[in-house]
Amino acid sequence: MESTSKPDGPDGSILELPVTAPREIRKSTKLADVCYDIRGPVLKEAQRLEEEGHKILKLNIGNPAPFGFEAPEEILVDVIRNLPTAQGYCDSKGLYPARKAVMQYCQELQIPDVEIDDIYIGNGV
Amino acid sequence: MVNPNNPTGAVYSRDLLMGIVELARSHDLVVFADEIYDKILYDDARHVPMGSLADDILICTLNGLSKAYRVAGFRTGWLVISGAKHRARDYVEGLDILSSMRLCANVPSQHAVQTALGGYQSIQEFIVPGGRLYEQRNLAWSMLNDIDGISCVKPKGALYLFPKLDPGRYRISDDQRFAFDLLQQEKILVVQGTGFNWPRPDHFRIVFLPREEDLRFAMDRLERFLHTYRQ
Ligand SMILES: Cc1ncc(COP(=O)(O)O)c(C=O)c1O
Repeated sequence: MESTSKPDGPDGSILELPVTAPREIRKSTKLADVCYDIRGPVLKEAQRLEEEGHKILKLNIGNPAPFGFEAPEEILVDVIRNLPTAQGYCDSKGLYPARKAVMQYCQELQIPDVEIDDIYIGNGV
Repeated sequence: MVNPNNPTGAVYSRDLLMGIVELARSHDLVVFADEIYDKILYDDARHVPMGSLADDILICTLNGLSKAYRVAGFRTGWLVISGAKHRARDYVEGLDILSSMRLCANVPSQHAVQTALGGYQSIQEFIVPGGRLYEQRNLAWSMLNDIDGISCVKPKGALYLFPKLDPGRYRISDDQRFAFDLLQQEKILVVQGTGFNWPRPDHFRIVFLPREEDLRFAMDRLERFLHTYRQ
């Protein structure tokens, strides 16, 4: 975008507020080194081709569900059954039974000394 | 470290993992072990949990419901801290602050965790001979290796293949360009190896989740494409 604002004065003072174009809103520079090519320009092109009506065979991400790998029904039943009582926030580290299950899994794997408080549930890895 | 590995499908031996523990010990490092594919193993592969190998270094193990339980969209996973916790009180305080700041993880899907981890593990059906993942891995792997100038190690775990394109033959200098061209010509979407910080432009990753007929179709298209493709 062409900038119409005047440069800062030699002493660093701002000479004038920009008169026309409002400021461009930019991403944080902290994102400069983020490497996530999986969501990069190739994927963009795939989306463009799909919008044009092409069928794309997606061998790009490990998302089991769209390929007919469905969740065990038991899991869905448990989520559905508990939905009415899952409306509020829970403990910030996660529901007790869920963490307990992870703790018992750690015991099975012989990871020593794992307690409930050593477990944090999050929105995916 | 990611074990079983994405993108290569490697499952690391106890010896190799002990080597990493030793490195962490001598350089005073924290080990982050992403073990999301720990139940997706083929042939005689066995997964050794990082956390089971040492109690004198800090180990952060990650896992979740996205792969073995096929509910990636539920967004549920977890972090387990083990080992030298007594040296990590400040770090743990940081984790507590961060988890408090986001209030909590998605609650409804946390109700899936107990059922998922306990009892019958349905993923088993998929990874044995006759199971979809096992058969699809075999098919994709052998069709890839039948293409001139492609070589690929047989994955021992996870959902991916990481084939190598013979640099002498294809002269690929920009692997993102390769993925782009393959997409445009054959309508197949893969990820270039440099996307995983692989240093040379001579690998790409494919997932073998599609059904056999779709994998066959994809591999035929890839072969056709590579027949003439050079950079
Ligand atoms: C190495 C690795 N870790 C974790 C995940 C899953 O992440 P999440 O639990 O956020 O769905 C994936 C999925 O592709 C993965 O490949």
